[in-house]
Amino acid sequence: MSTGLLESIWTVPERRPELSNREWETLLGQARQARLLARLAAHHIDQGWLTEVPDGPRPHLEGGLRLADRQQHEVRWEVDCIGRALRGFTSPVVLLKGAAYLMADLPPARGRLFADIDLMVPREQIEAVESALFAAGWICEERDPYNQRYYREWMHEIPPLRHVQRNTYIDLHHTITPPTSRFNVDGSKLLANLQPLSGHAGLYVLAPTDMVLHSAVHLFQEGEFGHGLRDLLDLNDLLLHFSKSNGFWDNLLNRADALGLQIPLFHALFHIQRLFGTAAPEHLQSRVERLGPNAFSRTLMAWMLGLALRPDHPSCDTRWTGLARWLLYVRSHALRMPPHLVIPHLIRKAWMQRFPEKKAESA
Amino acid sequence: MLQQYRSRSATKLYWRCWNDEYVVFDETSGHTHQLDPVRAFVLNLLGPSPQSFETILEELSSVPVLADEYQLPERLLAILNELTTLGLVEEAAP
Amino acid sequence: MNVGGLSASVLHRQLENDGLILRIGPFSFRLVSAIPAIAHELEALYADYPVLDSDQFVDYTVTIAQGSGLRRWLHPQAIFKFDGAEVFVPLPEDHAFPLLEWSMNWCISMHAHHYLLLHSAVIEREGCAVILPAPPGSGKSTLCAGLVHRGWRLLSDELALISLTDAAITPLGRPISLKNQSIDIIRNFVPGAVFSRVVHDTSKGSVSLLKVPPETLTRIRETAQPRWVIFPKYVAGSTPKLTPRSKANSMLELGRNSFNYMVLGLKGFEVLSKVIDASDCYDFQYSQLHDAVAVFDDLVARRNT
Repeated sequence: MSTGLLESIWTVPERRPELSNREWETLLGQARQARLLARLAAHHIDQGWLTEVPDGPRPHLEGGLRLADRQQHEVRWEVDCIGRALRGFTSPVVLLKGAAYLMADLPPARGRLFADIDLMVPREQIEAVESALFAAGWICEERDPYNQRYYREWMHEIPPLRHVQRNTYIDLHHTITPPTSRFNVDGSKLLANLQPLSGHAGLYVLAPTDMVLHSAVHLFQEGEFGHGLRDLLDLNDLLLHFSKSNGFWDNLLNRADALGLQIPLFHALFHIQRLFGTAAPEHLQSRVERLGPNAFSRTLMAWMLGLALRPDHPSCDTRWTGLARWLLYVRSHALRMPPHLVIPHLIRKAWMQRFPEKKAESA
Repeated sequence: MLQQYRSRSATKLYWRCWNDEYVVFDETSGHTHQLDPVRAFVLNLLGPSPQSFETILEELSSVPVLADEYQLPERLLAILNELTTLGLVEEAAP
Repeated sequence: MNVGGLSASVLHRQLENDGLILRIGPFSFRLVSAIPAIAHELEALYADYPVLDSDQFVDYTVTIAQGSGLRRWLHPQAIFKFDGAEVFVPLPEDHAFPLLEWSMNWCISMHAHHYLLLHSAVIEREGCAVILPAPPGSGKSTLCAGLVHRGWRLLSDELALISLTDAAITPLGRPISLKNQSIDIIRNFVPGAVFSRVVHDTSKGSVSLLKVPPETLTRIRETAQPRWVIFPKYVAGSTPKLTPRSKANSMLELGRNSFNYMVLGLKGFEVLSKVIDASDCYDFQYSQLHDAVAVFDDLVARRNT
């Protein structure tokens, strides 16, 4: 059954894939869609299998890895440029997600494809930081006043900032979830536990527990389920890495309570155990169980997430996948905005997609 | 002048030269630049440790062709500013 | 077995169902489409291309789908799908064959990072390759189409595939894309040339694809070393002029005309440097094809002097 092809690479990581040509094609296609091609290549290299991959698929793996390697350089450069632009700020500037994994040398950075750089700063510093970035060449791209409001008032971000020369993007935040969301996290709690980034004065990353929780809440709120498998792999990497420290799991559960993120953590741990076998220590199992919502919604949620977390590739579609994804998309928007604001925005978004103002040109 | 300068990525520059034109690849930024011999020379003078403007000027003046150049300090300043804009050079705190 | 060896009905059936698998240069493509025009044009222009068995590994599967629902009958569309996703906005079904060509270019230029990919034509004579980079509208394709019918071998019209190990250029050998007046110019210059049906009102104007000379395919595995980089520019009424051009500047311009120079980082720099090391660089201004032929032939004749 091909739907589990990409997943099985990591659920049974010690088994070397021996695939027909068609299966290789499917695997590569799934990996491309899930943005995991480079990671797939890295996995083969780490296991010493790359040279044994047949001549047909092998250049595709190598090509994917080249792209990821190049992006790593670019992200380091961007972080360097950001550091310069914000030199002189006494308040902390926090790197989130991919950029944090890379700069702090964490396992999820390997074979990763990067997109925008996510930064978090104290709420009261947002305007000043936006100005400093503007002075260094990052401009706010969003012209549409409706979308500007969506971002600024209802989300936790200002619209993406684009650098005029390099065409790279920064997403600037003051917390890790939207203020209107059910999972509303006070940014100052996160700022209290930061870890400095060595070699980069003024730049920080989240504490390990907060990094894991951010990843968990991001996965289940954002509605971008095409990347679900990748986000779960990242989470698994983080858990395996951080659990080497004594007391990490206890701290993680305590912190989930403190920040009110028990439900996203529960779901994350459920799927991570199902897929990769990574679990909390014995003595904490029952505490993990109690994190979750009631039995019925838990089962439904797990089923929907299980479907929607599959790569967005025709080989993985069942007739339920589209519906499950849509339900989760609506749900994740329900988590972000008060109910009376949800529907008009969705309609408007769909409208703008069908009747864009500028048509993209083909090649 | 109290300003100091250093190369922004001294260990990651790769050079080629054809007919007195230089091309330099900056691995850190991934950008490739074309430089005339003077700019190339100035960039090549700089390393990871900061050097004062005076020192750089002195080294530049030691090149026989340039010793009598009129307005050399102003030109050097312009070159250093250009190299800074390209991301190859940075001003260092004295 | 080549495409020409398949009966029309077998060709149509394969295209509509599991797909037609072709070897194109060093790549294998699976083409899937129910649009009849695609089958017709493939029969006309791809007759000499090898068909591969269905158990071969396929690098890229290109699906040119028709629109769905009512759209299909009112405003028929051609839609490029890759890995199940639509890559470009849908085009009118009339544009299906040019879309197929653009889609194949996209697949290569987005993914084939085991080569340095330049947006340029490449032709070869007596073992020496000329790289002809040029932005759209500079006459590169017309020049290329003309020269390959006057003794030059076509390696590629749009995409140069440069080896990362030794800077050798691997042929791709696809039909040559011509636009607007170029179509008539080449019709006159090459009697008996086979063209795809001219498609009008595309984003590039009127477009047609020219079938490649047979030698392109019989020698498809022969790589070539770069010897010249020539930036062509069509200037109406001008006399032909070949002007030497700075190597350093040419290198930067090639880098800007590359699909993945930035992606390849240091490797890209090293390979492109090798290309420039080996090549004399020129600007070339011309207005008449036969002038261009004379200049290029002269380059080859003089090359060791």
